[in-house]
Amino acid sequence: MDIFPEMKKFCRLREFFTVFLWYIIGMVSIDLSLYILFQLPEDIFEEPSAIVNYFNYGISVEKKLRRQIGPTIESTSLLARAGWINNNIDNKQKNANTSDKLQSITFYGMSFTNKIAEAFKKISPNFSVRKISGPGAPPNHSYFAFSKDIKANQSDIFVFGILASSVEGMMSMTGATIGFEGAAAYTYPIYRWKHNELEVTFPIISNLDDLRKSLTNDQLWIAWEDQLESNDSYYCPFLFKKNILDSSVIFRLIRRAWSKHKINKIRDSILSADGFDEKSNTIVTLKMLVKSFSSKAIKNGKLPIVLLHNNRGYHNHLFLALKSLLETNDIPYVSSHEIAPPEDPNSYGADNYHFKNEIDDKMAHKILEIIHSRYKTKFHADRGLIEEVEHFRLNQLDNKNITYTTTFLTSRIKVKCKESLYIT
Amino acid sequence: MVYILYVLLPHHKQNRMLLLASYVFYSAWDWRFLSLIFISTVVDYHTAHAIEKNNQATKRRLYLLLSISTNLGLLGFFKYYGFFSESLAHLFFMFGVQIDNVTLNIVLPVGISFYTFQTMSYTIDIYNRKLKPADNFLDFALFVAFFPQLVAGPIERAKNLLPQIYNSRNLTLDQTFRGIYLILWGLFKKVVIADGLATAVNTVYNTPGTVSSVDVLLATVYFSLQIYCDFSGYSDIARGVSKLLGFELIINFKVPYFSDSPSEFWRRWHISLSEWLRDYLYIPIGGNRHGVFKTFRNLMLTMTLGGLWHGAAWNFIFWGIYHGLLLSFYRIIASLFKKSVQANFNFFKLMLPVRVLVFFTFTCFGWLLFRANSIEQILSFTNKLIFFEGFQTIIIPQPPFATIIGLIFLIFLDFFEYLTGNDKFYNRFYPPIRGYLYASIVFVLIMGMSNAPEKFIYFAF
Repeated sequence: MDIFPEMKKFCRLREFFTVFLWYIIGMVSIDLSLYILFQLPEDIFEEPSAIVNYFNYGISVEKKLRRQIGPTIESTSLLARAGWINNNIDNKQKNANTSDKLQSITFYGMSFTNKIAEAFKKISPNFSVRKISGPGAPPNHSYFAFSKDIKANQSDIFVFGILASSVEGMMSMTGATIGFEGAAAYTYPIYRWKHNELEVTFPIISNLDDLRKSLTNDQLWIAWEDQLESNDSYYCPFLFKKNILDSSVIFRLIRRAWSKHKINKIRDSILSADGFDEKSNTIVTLKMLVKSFSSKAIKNGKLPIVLLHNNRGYHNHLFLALKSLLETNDIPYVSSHEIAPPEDPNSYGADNYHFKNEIDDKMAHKILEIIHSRYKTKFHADRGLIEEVEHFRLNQLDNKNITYTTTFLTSRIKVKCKESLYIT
Repeated sequence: MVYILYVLLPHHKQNRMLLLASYVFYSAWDWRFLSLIFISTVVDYHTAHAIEKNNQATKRRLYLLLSISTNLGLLGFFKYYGFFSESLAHLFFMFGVQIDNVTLNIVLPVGISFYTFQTMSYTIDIYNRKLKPADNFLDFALFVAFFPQLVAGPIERAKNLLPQIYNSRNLTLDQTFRGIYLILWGLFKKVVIADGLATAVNTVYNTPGTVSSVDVLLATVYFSLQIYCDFSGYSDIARGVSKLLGFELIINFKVPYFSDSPSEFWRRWHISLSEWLRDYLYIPIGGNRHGVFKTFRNLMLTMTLGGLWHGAAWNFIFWGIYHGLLLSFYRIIASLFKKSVQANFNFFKLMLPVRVLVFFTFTCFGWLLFRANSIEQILSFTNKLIFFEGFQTIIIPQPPFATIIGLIFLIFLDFFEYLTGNDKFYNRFYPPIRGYLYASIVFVLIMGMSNAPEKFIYFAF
C-alpha cells in the first residue's frame, strides 16, 4: 500500500486544522482587543469619538435604551429625552402663551424643519416660532403632535415638515427602531388608511416616565415589545433584544449590517428608481395625513403650510408623490427641490446631510411669501407697534370678491384693527 | 444545496445538474433571455459539427460566418442598436437632416458580451482545426452556460473548459481551501472596497454641480480601484465557486496596477478578453507582422473594438482608442530607447517604482474616459486635472472606515503577489500568521457589510 498519498492528506488536514485554530484565536483576540479599546464612556453625557461610536453602533436597541435612560430626568441622556410629544407640547404651549410677539408659527417635523424654523425666526422677528420635533421624526410623529396641539395652540400658522427619507419611517412606532444606530427613545402612533379612514394605533408607552418604568417592569416591557412586533415594521428581535453577544464587537458589526439590510428592504417596498409607490398604503396614508392636516388647520381658522424636504437619494420623488394632492386641494407648500437639487452635493452643508444655511434661508423666505400672499396679519391693538413695512395683496375675501391692496406703514403707528382674516 | 447535491451525484448527472442550475441561475435575472443563450448554443453546436464534417473551404467559411453573424447579431441588436441609431440620427442632424430614429427600449441581457464571445471562440477554434467539436449537446450547453462565469467572465476557452466537463472531477482539499479563500477574497474586494468607494465616485461623477480638481483626481483614482476590485472580485468568486465544483477557470487578473507599460497592463488586466482580442482579432488581421503602420492600424482597431465591447457609448470607444494610442506609442518609444535601456539596465530596473507610478497615472486617465457620463464631462474633468485649481475638496466624501482598512490589505496582499509572482504566496506563511490574516480579512469583510451594496459594474456588459 502506498501510504504517501494518505500521509500527505493527513498532513494537509493537520495543517488546515492548525490554521483554522489560529483563525479562531485571531477572531477572538481581535474582538476582545476592540471591545477593551473602544468601550463607551461611563458618563452618558460625554460624546464618544467617531471610532468608539463605530464599534458600538451595533449594540442592541434594548441595551442602548437602558444605558441612555437613568432613574431621573437629570441622569437621562438628551437623546432619550428628545421627541416625546406630550412633554414637548406642554412646554411649548407654556412658552407660547407668554410670548409678546405679534404672530405665532409652529413647525412640526425634524431637524431639517428645525433649521428652517431658525432661519424663519431670523427673517421675521415679528413671529413667535415654536418647534415640535423629534430626531428623524417621520410624518406620523409630526401629524400626531399637530393634532394634539391644535386646540390649545394659539399659533396662526402651522407648518408640517416632511422629510423624504423619513416617509418610510411611517411604518414604525418609535425612533428606537427606525434609527438603530442612535436609537432615539420617543414614540408616536402609527397610522394606516383602512376602509376609507385613518386607523390609528397608539403606543402603550407614550412618555419617558412610562418607558423608564418598563425598564424595571418585565410585564410592561414585554407588552411594549409585543406591540412593536405586531405594528412596527422596523422591529426585529435580533436587533432589539439585549443578550450576551452585545459584548462581541464582531456580533455588533453583523447586527449593524443586518439593520441596514432591513432598512433598505423596507425602503425598497415603497420606493423604486421611478419614485414612491403611490398605491402603497404608506403613501396613501401620507396623503391622507397631509389632507387632514390642512383641513383641520383651516377649520380652526389657521394657515397650513406643508414643507417638503427632498433630501439626497430621493430626487424629487416626495414632491411628485404629493404634488397633485397639494395642488388639487390648494394646500400651500414649499418644496426644497425647487431651491436645492437633491442629488447635487453642493446643496448640503459640512455634515453632508442637512441643507446649507443659504438654502434654509431661501425656504424660510418662501414660507414668508406664502404667508404674505394668503394671510392678513393679525394685530393686537394693545400690543401696538409694527416694526416693518409690508405689502399685502388679498385676492378674494370669501364670497365678497373684494380685491384691495393695503400698505401698512412702519413702526410707531398703533393699528386699531383687531380682526384677522384667513383667506382660502 | 446545489453543492451538496453536486458532491453526491455521479459525474454525468453532475453535468446535467450544473446545466439546470446554470439556467435557473440565469433565469433569476430574466427568464426571457434564456432563449438567447439557447439560440447561441444550438447554432454554434450545429455549425461546429458542420464545419468539422466539411472539407470544402467555402462551406466551412459559410458555417463559420453563420455562427459569427448569429452571435454578433444578437450582441449587436441587444447591445448596440440604440447607440448606433441615436448616433446616426445625431450625425444626420449635424448636417441639417432630421431623421426619426426608432427607439425600441431594448433591455440589455446580462452577460451577453461574455457568452457570445465564448461561443464564437469555440467555432473559430474548430474552423482553425485547433479543437474537435463537442459530441454531447448537453455538455456543450454547459460550456456555454456554466453559471460561475456566465454573467461576468472570465471568457473561457473551449480547450480549457470542455475537457473538464467531459472528464470526472476529483474534489481535492487544496482546491476546496483555495476555493473558499478566493470566494472570501473576492467578496472582500467587492463588498469592502468596491462598494465603499462607489459613493465617493458617484458623488463626483454624477453631480450636476461644481467639483474641484482634487475631487476629480480622488474620484478617478477611487474609480480605478473600484473597477479593479469589482471586476477582479467577481472573477475571484467565479474561480472560487468553480474550484469547489472541481473546475479550474483561467486567471483573469494578475495585479494589473503594478504594470509599468501598456503591453504589460494588457497581460495582467481582464486577461481572458485581451487574449481573445489578440487571438481572434489582432493576429488574424495581421498583428505586428506587416510593418509599423499596419501594426499601428491593427492595434487601434483591436483596442477600439475592445472599448466598444464594454458598452454602447462614445466614452468606451474613446477609452479603447486611448489604450490603442498608449500601446502604439509605447512600441515606438520602446524601440527608440531600446539601446539606452540595455546600456543602463540596472538604473532602468531601479526606476521600476517610478515607471509603475507613471503608468498608473496614465491608466487612471483612461478610467476617467471610461467612467464619464458625457463628452462634456470628459472635457471638463480633463481641464480640471490639467489646470489644477487649488488643493481643497468640495464635495467628495471620505470613504468608509472599513474601505480604508480594506485598501491597506489590498495593497499589501497585491504587492506580495506581485513580488512573488505567485497568487498563493500566503501558503508559505506560518500557520499563526495565516490564521491571523484570514481572521483579519473576515473581520474587515464583516465591517464592510454595512456599506451600501452596489451592483457588479461588469454585469452591465
